[in-house]
Amino acid sequence: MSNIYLVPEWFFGLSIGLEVLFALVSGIVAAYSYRIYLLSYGRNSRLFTIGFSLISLSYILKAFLNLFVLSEVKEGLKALSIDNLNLLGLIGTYAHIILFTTGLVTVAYMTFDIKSWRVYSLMLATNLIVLILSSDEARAFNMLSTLLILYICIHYGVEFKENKRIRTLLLFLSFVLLLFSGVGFIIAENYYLNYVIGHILELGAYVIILISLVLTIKIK
Amino acid sequence: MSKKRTRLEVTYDILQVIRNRNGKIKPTHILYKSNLSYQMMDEYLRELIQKSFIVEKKLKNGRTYALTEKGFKFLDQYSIIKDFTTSFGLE
Repeated sequence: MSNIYLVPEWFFGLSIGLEVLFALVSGIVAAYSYRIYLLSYGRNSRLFTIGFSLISLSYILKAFLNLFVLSEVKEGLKALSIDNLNLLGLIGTYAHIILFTTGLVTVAYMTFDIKSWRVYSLMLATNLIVLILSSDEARAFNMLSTLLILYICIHYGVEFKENKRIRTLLLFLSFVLLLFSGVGFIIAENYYLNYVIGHILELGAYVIILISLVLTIKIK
Repeated sequence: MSKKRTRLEVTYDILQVIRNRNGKIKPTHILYKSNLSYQMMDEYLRELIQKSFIVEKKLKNGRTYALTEKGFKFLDQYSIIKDFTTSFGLE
C-alpha cells in the first residue's frame, strides 16, 4: 500500500496550522455565500455554500487527523499509509477524502449550466466509487480532485473572459494555484518536498480567495 | 448588441416593475415591462412565489402580484448579491 503522503519533520506542525487556515478561509467563504443565499435563494449560491462548507470540514478533519495520528510516527519523514492507521485514523482519512471530493464535485457541478440531480448524483457516485474501490486511494483521490479543480478553473477562465472583473481573475488564479498544488500532491507520494510546495501553492490560493472576498465585501 | 440577461437580473427587473407599481401589478403589465415571453414570465412568477418574494392575489377580473418583505429585501440588497455572484462566478 502506498503512502497517502510524506511529510518532512520540520513542516509537520506548520502543515497542521495551514490546514486550519484553509478550513477557516473556506468556512468564511461558505458563510458569506450562505448570507447571499438567504437573500436570493439562488441555486448556485446554495451549491457554493454546500461545496465550501464540505471543503472546510474536510480540512478540519485533516488537521485533526495529522495531529492525532501522524504524531505517533517517529521518523525523520512522517509517512501516513492506510496500513498503519488505527480505526479512528482510517475513518478520519476516508471522511476527509469523501468530504473534500463531495465539496469539489458540488462546486464543479455548480459551474455546469445543468439543473439535474441525476447528473449531480452520477458525478458524485462515480467519484466516490472510484475512490473506494481503488487499490491506490491516495493517488486516485489526488487525481480526481485535480481533475475536478481543472474543470472549476475552466469555468472561472470563461467567466473572466466574459465579465473582465479583477475579482473573477483572482478566483481564476486561485484555482490555477490549487490545480498546481494538486499536481504537486499527486507526486508527493514519492517526493516529500512536493507536499511542502503543494501546501505553499494552496496557501497562495486561499489567500487570493480571501482577498477577492474582502474586496467584494469592502466595495459595498 | 446587448448581453443576454442572467436569471438574477431578470428576477430583479420583475421585482422592480412590481415595486414601481406600488407593489401591485397585473401579469400583462409585467409581461410588457419585463420584456419576456408569456411562458418565461409565468415560469419566473411561479419561482418568485415559491421563493416567497411575491404573492399572488386572485381577483374577479384576473390576478395581481405584490411584493413580500423578502422581495423588498432582495431589491434593497441586490447590489451585494449581484457583486458576489458575478465575482465568484455564480450567475
